[in-house]
Amino acid sequence: MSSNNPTIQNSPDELLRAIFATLTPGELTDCALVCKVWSLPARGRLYEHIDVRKAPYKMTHAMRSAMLCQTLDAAPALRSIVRSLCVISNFPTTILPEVRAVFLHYAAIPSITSFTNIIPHLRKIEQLSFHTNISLSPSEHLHVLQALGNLPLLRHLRYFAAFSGSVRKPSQLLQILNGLPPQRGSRPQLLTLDVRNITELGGFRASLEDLEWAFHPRSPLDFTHLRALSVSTYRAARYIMREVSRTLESLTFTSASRILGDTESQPPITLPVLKHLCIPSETINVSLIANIHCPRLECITLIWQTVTDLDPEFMSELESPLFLIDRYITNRSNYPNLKEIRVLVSSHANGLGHPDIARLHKMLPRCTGRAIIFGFGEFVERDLEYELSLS
Amino acid sequence: MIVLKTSDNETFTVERDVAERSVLIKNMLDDIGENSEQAIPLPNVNSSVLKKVLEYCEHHRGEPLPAADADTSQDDTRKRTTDISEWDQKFITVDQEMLFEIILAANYLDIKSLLDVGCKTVANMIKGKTPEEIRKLFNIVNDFTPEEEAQIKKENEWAEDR
Repeated sequence: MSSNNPTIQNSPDELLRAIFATLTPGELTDCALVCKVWSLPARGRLYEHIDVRKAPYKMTHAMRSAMLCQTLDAAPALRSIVRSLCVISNFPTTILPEVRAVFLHYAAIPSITSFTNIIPHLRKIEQLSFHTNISLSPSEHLHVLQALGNLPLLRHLRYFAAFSGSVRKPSQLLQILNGLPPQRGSRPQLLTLDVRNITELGGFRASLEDLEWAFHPRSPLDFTHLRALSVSTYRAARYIMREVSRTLESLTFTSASRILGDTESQPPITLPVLKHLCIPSETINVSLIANIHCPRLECITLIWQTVTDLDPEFMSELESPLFLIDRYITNRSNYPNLKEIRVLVSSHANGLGHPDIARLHKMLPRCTGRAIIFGFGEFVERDLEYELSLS
Repeated sequence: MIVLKTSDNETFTVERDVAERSVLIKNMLDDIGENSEQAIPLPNVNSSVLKKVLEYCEHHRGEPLPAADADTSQDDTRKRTTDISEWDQKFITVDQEMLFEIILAANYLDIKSLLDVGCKTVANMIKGKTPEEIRKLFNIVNDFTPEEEAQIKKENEWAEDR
């Protein structure tokens, strides 16, 4: 083996890393077993960016996550490699010193505890996603938020946990914050906030939707410079967009069902730097859009939620909400920068399995858009034309 | 025209835009200036490999070069695509020794797209093989003790396909 000729075995580490770049996690586990020279770069690739959802579903993501966390807890050398981590139900109980991005979905009770214990020590985190199906009390919510308040670099937050019991007005979080000592030192300054449920992007379920607490001076996180906001209800959107109207570049609300009869009373608002607006097509009232002035708007995404959006039995096509929106938006000279209209289709929304893109296209004749199909917390984009040629 | 001199003292005369597919050569040319007649020495590349590399550069001349500072983002885009164009596929169909010579040369000369083609080709050879099959393919000796092997296997079990 000891010749001067180049072989894969005496290639420098960086070249092996480059070669391993296109391999899947499963293939990397094989490479790690080939020889000592290979093992280090293979494990480097395997542990640098971890997303358990990318492995084949031969065992559940939660099971993989549990095994992964066990490995990480036992191996400090591997822990220091991790830059991003996406796990389901389980979370390491030890510190990952270099991690920049953390995603914990379907957090269970023990993992919520280890999460809130460990997170304050992961000081390099910039992006964080926390999701649980377990309902949390207001003080438990605050406990998690206070843990996040220790992350000086945190900019992007996705948070979903329902309140236990019924939602009360005003938010109980406000009362707790009132009782806290004043904030000392600087709080992390958030740029993006998403409080929707990852598993039902179009659905409505209260998480931290009553966001009045977010602008409380004693809130553990600073939202006053927010650039992107995603919430499930127009109610929440309406509140926040007035607080951060000067900085908001992207606004998403996925359910408008609670806004009927609510729109007339709303004074118009100008969002001077808003570029992307994502709104439900369902039961949308055009006057709602009319009330939001966004002269820099570049892209509108319509969330297609229900059959009634498309059903010609429901009303004539010319009266369908989609068509109205299309006519309204594209005829207006108020949006000189508007370049794109997209349609967000849930792959399981209508039980259709496959969205009827041709019909959608008919409803939105002026749009050159794309259908975006979403699955488990991830978007898969497909061109409308591509879909059309399939059907 | 540019003159390149290999480790085995052969000289190649090529057009400047072909040679400049190599960021290393481009930087050298920028340093020594326009009018130099000097041959550029490439002590890490022999003539048979350089001939092959220049064939690649000739074919891809005029294509946009990847941004120099795109290292990390390029890492990502490269990650999931294993496709290689038909011409490149034919070009890279060489024996294993030449394949690694090309990869090393592409790395040394800093020709990102060629390095990519080489790395993907090797990755495609690895895909779907067991560790033992990989060792056989590349003539690698297993230097793990059974205990070490068991340890790594256990550690990485969460990521296994099988």
